[in-house]
Amino acid sequence: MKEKLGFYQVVELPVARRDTPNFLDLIQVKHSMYGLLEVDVTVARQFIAEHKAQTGETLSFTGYLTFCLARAVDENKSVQSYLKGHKQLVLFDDVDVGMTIERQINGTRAPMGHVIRRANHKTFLEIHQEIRSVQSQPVPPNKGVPSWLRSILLLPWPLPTLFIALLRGMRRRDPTGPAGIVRTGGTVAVSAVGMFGQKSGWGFLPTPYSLMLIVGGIARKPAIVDDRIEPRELLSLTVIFDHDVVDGAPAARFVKRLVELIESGYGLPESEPYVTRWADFEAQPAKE
Amino acid sequence: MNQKIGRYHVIALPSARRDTPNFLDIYWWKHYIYGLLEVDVTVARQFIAEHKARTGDVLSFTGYLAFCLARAVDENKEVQAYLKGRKQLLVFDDVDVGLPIEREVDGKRAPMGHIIRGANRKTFLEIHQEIRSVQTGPMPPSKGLPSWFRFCLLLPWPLSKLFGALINAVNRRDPTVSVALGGTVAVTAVGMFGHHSGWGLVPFPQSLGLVVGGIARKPGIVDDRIEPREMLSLTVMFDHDVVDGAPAARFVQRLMELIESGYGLVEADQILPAYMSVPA
Repeated sequence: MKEKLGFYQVVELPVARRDTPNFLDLIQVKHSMYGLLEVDVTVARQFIAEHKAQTGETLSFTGYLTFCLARAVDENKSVQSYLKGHKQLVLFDDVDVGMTIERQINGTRAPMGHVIRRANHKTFLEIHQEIRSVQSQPVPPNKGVPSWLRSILLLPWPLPTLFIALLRGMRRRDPTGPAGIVRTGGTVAVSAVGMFGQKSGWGFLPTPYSLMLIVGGIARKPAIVDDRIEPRELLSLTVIFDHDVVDGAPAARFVKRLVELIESGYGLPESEPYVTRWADFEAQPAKE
Repeated sequence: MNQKIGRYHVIALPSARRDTPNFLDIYWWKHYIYGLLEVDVTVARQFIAEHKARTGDVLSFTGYLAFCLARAVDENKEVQAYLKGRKQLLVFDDVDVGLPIEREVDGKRAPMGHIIRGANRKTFLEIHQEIRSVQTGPMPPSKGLPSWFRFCLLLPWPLSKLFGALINAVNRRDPTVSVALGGTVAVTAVGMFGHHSGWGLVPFPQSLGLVVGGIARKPGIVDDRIEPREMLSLTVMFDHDVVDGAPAARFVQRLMELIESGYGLVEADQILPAYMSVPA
């Protein structure tokens, strides 16, 4: 049997990865529902391209998705609720969007969690500026994960398993407490952009959130617009819900609204000057 | 630290939702295989549109998928088998399709489980009529689940967990109870993502389930020409404990063949026995 195996090597697992399996056990939502969508993002991408040609500034596409997500959640807050014990539900007024932002310092890149607080009260440009300013900040040691948490997760079995059960129990009792994701990670999340480059490709992840978007690839594909076949930019987008707090039908209605916002180019200021146009836009009541 | 969280409210969880996490625990651990398909449904959608223009009657598209599913399962019943203990397999003769149907109750929409019994012996129109009559029927209490079942799921921990484990053990010894409640196969409601490509992934308690996603108009290739077609995003879920990859793939192929060819689409005035319209 053994001679059938090719050559192999046993290498040291990097310290930074050793707690990963336990960490994933700790955070994972048990009953995830997934939606794999294809969203026409031509309008938003064209706006970003035109803006770049005019000003030289590259607007954050992740920022735009964050903006649309926050708006859609704002209209239907039940999708970002969390169970508190067995008989209660916690509903949040604000949409805090957690995301991983790659920071670039001295030529090295490091991913680091960031929360866009109250994203439902922010404009696309404000979210974009927040992301860009975080990208140039230094990375704190341990990527912001408290070192005691990492030490406990690295203890020999069965201590981490016990600790995980304890923390999961605490989270269930109070999702707004220290064991919950909301305090440090936001109420919903968006994964980093450009996962698969210029191809269709959906990502799948375990998540601690009640609602999360995974931004996949953006591919140029033929699509039908007004009965004509045209090249369009189609984004592969994964939406993850927690079935414990939301059913299939309301989840589908939420997805419909989110796609509508993204495809229509909701909230994109049409031309210069952005700031004043934006103020006009904000003064209008929300489109239903 | 805490002030970073915005304002929040703690509300009572509606009692209809309280048993959900425990209910999901009962079947969420199974060994699922998923297939994500893109199916050309232009023929069926055209038939439904023409039928509407002729008679004003909107035929149920979910009903058509349930009809094709029942036919495909009827030809290959191993996909709807259930484990009975460790040494036996339960194979059902009839295809009972469980599907949630949204009903309007006092202006509110509420999903309610319904089972199309013996769907493999029914025509598309019969299934359609059954779905429409359920949609207008009254809503039974507790979404059709027996009230003792919901009561046990709502018991305090660890009793609810013990009950879940017990239900699993009973299911394993005799799957007929859960099949009687949920059908042998399942289809979720249509139009989940509207006119967009979009697949839904969710496990079912049944051995075989379809998640009906969005229907998008997309360019497709017909006889070497690019034409606009209606493409359905369809997810097929199997229980790997009872079916292997290869037979599952063959089943999917046959199911797609039936749907794409418009199997069994005949007007009521020219109705034939279902077996006479099987495509070659």
